[in-house]
Amino acid sequence: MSDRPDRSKQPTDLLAARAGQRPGGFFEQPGVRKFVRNRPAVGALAVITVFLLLALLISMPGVNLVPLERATERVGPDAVPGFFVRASDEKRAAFAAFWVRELDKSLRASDPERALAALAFAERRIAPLELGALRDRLAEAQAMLDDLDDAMGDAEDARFDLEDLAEELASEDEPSDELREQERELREELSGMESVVRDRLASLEDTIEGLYPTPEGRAGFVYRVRLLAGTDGQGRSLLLRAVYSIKVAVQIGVVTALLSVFVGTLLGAAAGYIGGPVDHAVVWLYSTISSIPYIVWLVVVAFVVREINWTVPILHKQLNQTLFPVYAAFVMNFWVGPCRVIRGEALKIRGLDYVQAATAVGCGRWRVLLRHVLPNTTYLVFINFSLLFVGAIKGEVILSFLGLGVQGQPSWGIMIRDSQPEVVVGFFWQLGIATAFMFVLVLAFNIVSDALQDAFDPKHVAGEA
Amino acid sequence: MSMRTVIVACLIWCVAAIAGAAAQPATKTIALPMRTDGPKSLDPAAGSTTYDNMATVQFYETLLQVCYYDESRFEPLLLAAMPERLDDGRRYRFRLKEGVRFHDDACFPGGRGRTVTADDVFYSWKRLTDKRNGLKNWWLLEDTIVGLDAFKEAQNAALDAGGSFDYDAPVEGFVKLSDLEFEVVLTKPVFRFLWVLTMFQSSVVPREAVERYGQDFASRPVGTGPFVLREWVPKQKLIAERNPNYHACTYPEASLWSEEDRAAGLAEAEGQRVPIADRIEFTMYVPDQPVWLEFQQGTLGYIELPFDYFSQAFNPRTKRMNADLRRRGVAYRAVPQLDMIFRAFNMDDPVVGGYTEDRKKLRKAISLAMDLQEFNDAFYSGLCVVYDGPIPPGLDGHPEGGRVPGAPRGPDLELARRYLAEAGYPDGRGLPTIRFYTSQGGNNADQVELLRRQLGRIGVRIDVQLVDFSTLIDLVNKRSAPMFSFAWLTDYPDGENNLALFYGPNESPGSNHWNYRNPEFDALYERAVVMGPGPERTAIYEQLRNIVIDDCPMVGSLARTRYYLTQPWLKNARPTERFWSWFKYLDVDDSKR
Amino acid sequence: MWSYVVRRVLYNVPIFLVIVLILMALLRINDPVAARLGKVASAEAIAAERERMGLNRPFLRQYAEFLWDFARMDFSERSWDQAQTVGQVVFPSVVPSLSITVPALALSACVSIVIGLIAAANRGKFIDRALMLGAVLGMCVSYLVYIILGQKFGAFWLSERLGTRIFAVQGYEDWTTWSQPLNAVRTWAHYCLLPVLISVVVTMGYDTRFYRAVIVEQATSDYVRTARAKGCGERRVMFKHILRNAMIPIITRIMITLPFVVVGSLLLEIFFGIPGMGRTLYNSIINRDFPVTQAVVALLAAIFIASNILTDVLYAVVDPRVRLS
Repeated sequence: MSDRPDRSKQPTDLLAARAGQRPGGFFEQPGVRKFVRNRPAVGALAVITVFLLLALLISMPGVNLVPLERATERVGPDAVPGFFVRASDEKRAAFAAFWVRELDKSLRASDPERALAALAFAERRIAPLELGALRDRLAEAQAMLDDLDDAMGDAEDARFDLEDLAEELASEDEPSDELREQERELREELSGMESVVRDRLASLEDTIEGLYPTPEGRAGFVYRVRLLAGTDGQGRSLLLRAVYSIKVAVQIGVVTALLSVFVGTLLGAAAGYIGGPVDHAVVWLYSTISSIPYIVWLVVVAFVVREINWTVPILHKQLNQTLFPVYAAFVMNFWVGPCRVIRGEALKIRGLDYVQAATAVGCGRWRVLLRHVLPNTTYLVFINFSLLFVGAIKGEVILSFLGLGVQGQPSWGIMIRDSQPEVVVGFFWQLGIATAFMFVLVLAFNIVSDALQDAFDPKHVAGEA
Repeated sequence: MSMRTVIVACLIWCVAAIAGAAAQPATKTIALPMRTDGPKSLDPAAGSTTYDNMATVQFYETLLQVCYYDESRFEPLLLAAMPERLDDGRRYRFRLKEGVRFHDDACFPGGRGRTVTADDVFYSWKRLTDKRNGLKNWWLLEDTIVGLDAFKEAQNAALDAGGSFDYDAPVEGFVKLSDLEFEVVLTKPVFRFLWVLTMFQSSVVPREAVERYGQDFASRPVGTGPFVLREWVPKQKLIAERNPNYHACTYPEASLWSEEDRAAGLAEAEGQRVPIADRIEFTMYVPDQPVWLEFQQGTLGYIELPFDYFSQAFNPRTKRMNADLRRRGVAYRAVPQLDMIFRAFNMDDPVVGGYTEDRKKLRKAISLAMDLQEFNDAFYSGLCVVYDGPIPPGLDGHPEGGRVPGAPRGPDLELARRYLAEAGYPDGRGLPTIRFYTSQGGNNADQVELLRRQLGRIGVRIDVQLVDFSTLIDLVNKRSAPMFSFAWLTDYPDGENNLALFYGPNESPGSNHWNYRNPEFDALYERAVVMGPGPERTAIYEQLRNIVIDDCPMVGSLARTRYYLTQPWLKNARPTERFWSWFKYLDVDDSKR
Repeated sequence: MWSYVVRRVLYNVPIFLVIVLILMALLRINDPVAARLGKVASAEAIAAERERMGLNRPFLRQYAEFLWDFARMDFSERSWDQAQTVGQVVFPSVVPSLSITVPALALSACVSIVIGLIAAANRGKFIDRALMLGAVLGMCVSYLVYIILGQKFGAFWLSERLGTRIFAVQGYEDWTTWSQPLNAVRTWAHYCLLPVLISVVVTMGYDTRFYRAVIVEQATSDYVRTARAKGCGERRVMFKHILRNAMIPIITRIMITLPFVVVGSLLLEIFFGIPGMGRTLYNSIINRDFPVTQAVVALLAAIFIASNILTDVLYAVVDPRVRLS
């Protein structure tokens, strides 16, 4: 983001640095030095490394930091708020009803022993009691639930009555004392009812804690971590889902960015350097792609590819259960960016003296291309890589919203999409956690690409790449 | 300078917007929701979805209609009386109601709607054989009326040869007696025929309109229905207005209604001329949320409560409506669907198919390992009815309490393990992984997860393939899906519709998706189709049901229940999904808005 | 001059042809017929449907016929999904799209240029850094998050607070049919203003950065230094020299985005249920309504190419350095 006209990096200077090469090595290059001095950029690079590492740990068969099953299993009731924030009375009652219902279902199963053995929510399981004792406790809890429902119903009715009364009071110019008195009484009554609700709720929660004791020690810690960011509409751990999604995001980002940059660089360099009909063909090809809005190609390609009825051989999955449709849609669009930039750079470099000299000396075309043209576009490749990475992560959200994205595993896009009805009723945890994770990664990449731009091509106009 | 204009304009917009939303016209109007994009076509011959049905029946009418007060019966609509059953049900004599006129429309001489005649009925049914209309609904009349199948072959062949489709060509089974009287001769005495006459696809359309409007006919309905089309903006709204020339038709008498319905005030409008409302405005909603919000605002007359919002309107445990809605006088009605959600086996599959004892044991073991109640609780808020066999609740042949003694109803893991061992796979050893196909979307991914977990308990492993619905159909039709999941919504309230799914000659690519072939079943079924309702037929239905349960070509079933909420100002509303022409009975009480 | 125009057109025609070709081929990879029929589709019904849809014709013939119809601007082909012609499906969706995108484009350009100017004028100072940091942070949040939160706070929260509904939760009404302008604007604002504002907020991050960079580039150029040395006032330098020269890249950027205005904002339209081009296109793809998909994409490509040619020619006219050869 530097604004000073920085003349230190004319292409010739850079080439001179290359020509002189080795003395100071990689870190002595002016661009690199400038980049390293940019502290936020180095920090961002560290963040990216952490994310990549996490993705690796999640997907490595031996480590399996967060297996898919962990991200899809139920750990508790639906829509539990994160950071152990206390939910509203209604929600707490619903949570209690959930635990009671689960126990009830298991006890009614044809072989309750087995069903109870399987009654576990990650580390939190049913108390090891006799069947009879459990049945008694269940009946007790159900009775308490009924009482709670009654109390809450009464409180609700009183609240409505109070509202009506308040309206009546407001409509009259000089409300009678009687009416005021009535309102005061009702208010007292209501607060009494509310304290009854709270008491019943508290004792019900105690009973449930007795039925499903929160585990102690390490298991307890792990269980709390699972609930740290709350649960989604199906009682799944939001934190684990968001963490697992790192893997999906990195997978999509790396694959699409690598492929697009590879294709784009190859075509761009070839077009710029070889010129003639090759150049015409490449330019024409990317003009074709970019004549249609990005989102249109994205939707068309993703839709068509995922519909193909083909089982991918090694994965033994239907094509639409893999990420291939997503990759295809992105790569189809994304290769154009790097191709355009690299072509321009290659055109510039081709005209430079030393390249012409190299050609004159008799270096082969391809040799010149590989040894001289491509290395000088490295920073562009990196910038494009990070831009496309960000593009892919953000694009995934859009595709997932349209139902054309990731299938069968969580992703930030899917979490954001699923959060929509929750947000309407005021539950922001799912949206928040997914957005936060995504925000950090995208910000890191944005900072890095800005810093690269600054370091290697300060005259470039931001936002154009 | 342009900046300032823009800012000023913005301010004006904001102020204007704050001043309030667009005003509503104040007539006797009912605003109703239509889920999804709404109808695709208003041509009865081209329609197939529920929404096509819902829209089409406001403008077109069938010879018979389902009774508003009792959905298991039907009554004459365009007919003067119930059809006369002749020759043991091989022939029916119909007499059209007098004075039924089509809507006034420019396609008629003088723009005045013409009287409906027997020729219109024949013409409308012949349209179902025209392949230019897509043959989507031909299955309704296929192999039913003498000479109609031959007519279809001949006329479509003529089309292929470059000729024209001759609607005037005679059909042996259509016998015109006079303008208002006609007979239809059936190939066999199938009782189903009368139900077909209640279905919107068999509605009567005027030839003049079809010929004049050509392809635009699908968006320019000219029928006999209680409403005329005012405006249709596809995927947005559809507005219908009272047909001033509607034939004499009245609200059902009080004596016909059940005690419960009378108590709900449904009989109060007894004898009133219908349609009662002046104008019905349908709005299309794709996402669930706006429907629910609009209803809470009080604008929509009724809604089908989306499953996701059930817990907001009802206490999920006690199924009691929440206080706020109760206080506002909102009424609800739980409408059980004629629905069958099931997991199917392909009977031609080398592993799970076959009719030998050990294959049956394998299928039963799988069935016993499944806990349908858990599916019900997890995915349908516990609102489904779980039942044995293929006949949904409310129909003859549905088992008492949903249970058939001896049916492999899970979860019974002990028995499941024993059967699995007897089938030759103790604890699932030696049993190859079974491929299970289901369509993607909705919560299907979570549903199959649960299924995988349940079957895993006895050691049966499945390989889940989530595919697009079209792919699923394709795979099933090609018999290459060993196990799959489907749902069937019964077309007309007769268990025969569901039993037909197991009839051998209907095998893939027909509707017998499991390729189930059992000569005993087929023979019994053929006997049942020609019978009218009665204890004798019910006994056969039960026998058929038990045969299916014993051979176990499927694990099932679940029937959904939909909850309908109605506003206090919407009168005479008894929402149902069996038929959709009941909007003509609706009334508005503006004092309660 | 004319030969230049002709050459540009000739160069672009194959692009158009190939776009349509790629699209039609892509769409036909999977058979749409079975998917479109209901649960009791017999082989016969499938065959009849295929014939009705014209899919039994050879591919190249379908391609040629489509192009021929398009060349004559004949949109009377029937949609496969709706009981309407393609024209009846596509054209009514233009106005809803424009009611979102045109105000959004204008508003975001104005706001972003102003912010860009403020930032550039205070280059290096706190306000510049704060604005640019805000822009970068804003760019790191997904479009969908803005939409979800925008709907929550703009439509739900606000109407709960005020008691009346200012912005619709979703939906659209034809505001152009109102005879009184105030009513028209009111209706428009009720349905469209919220999506417009969301769209402005989303694009602002990118735009602001771009405009600031452009202005900074001009501000640091030699002629500005000369002007300052001459003793021009700051204000005069800003508006007379910097902004005027920065106008070229700014206008170019707006010109580039113009054709994309037609497709509207697909996401916003779907989310808010606005029956614009984006939603029409998306629905047609999902419902396998090929005639509509093809027509919309072909139209888009044509508009894009036409505006491309126009831009090129205008440049050539304005800037003699662009060689006409």
